[in-house]
Amino acid sequence: MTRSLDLAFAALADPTRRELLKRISHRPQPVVDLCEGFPISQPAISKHLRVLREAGLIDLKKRGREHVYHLTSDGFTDMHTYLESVSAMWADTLQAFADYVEDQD
Amino acid sequence: MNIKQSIIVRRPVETTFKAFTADLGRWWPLRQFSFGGKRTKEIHLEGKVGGRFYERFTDGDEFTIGTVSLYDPPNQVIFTWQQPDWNAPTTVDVKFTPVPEGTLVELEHTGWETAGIPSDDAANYRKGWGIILQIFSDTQQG
Repeated sequence: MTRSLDLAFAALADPTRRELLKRISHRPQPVVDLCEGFPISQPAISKHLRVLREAGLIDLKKRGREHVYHLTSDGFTDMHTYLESVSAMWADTLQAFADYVEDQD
Repeated sequence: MNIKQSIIVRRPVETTFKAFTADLGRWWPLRQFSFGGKRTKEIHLEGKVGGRFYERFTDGDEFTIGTVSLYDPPNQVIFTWQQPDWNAPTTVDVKFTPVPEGTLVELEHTGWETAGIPSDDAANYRKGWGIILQIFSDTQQG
């Protein structure tokens, strides 16, 4: 696994961050909205958001006077790319297998 | 998300199963895929439950990739697959089915939820992985 994948997994190991990610995936929103319903302070939420951001799962965009969090594809694409590379390995391996067997008499 | 690959081999199922398991070291593309890279000299899959799937290096050292958990000739073999930096093994399930052309070989590589990074809390990673894949598939469709 790559460094960025490690970061993504580490970021998602926390239930608050998983919940934040789910909310952001429904619609981009500012930190004030994201704090609603959590029994922890805004600085604590901001800290969680920073971890998600460093993992490449979300990013910030300025909208008027506020900053809005939205999903970014970077963290997700890394994971998908990794699985694709394993899948490609198996395709090559099975082809090598078929070639070997069919060459035997 | 599981990884699935399949191929048709124009040989009977018994021949195909035996070649996949007992002869694995003869066809496995070691130059492309091995943990030891240039150090790797051989690869073997032991044909019995509890048997090892391992690489042997030029200096005699060995690296165990996984263990055979199901061995049912000529229909199916299942073995685990764990990279050195993973906290749990993944599973490779290979099925051999007779078809008019020969044998259909279907391979499924599962267990990515818990492979993750070294951690004491595999359950958290499983949830994390599930969410990532769910959101990823949502973004692909959207």
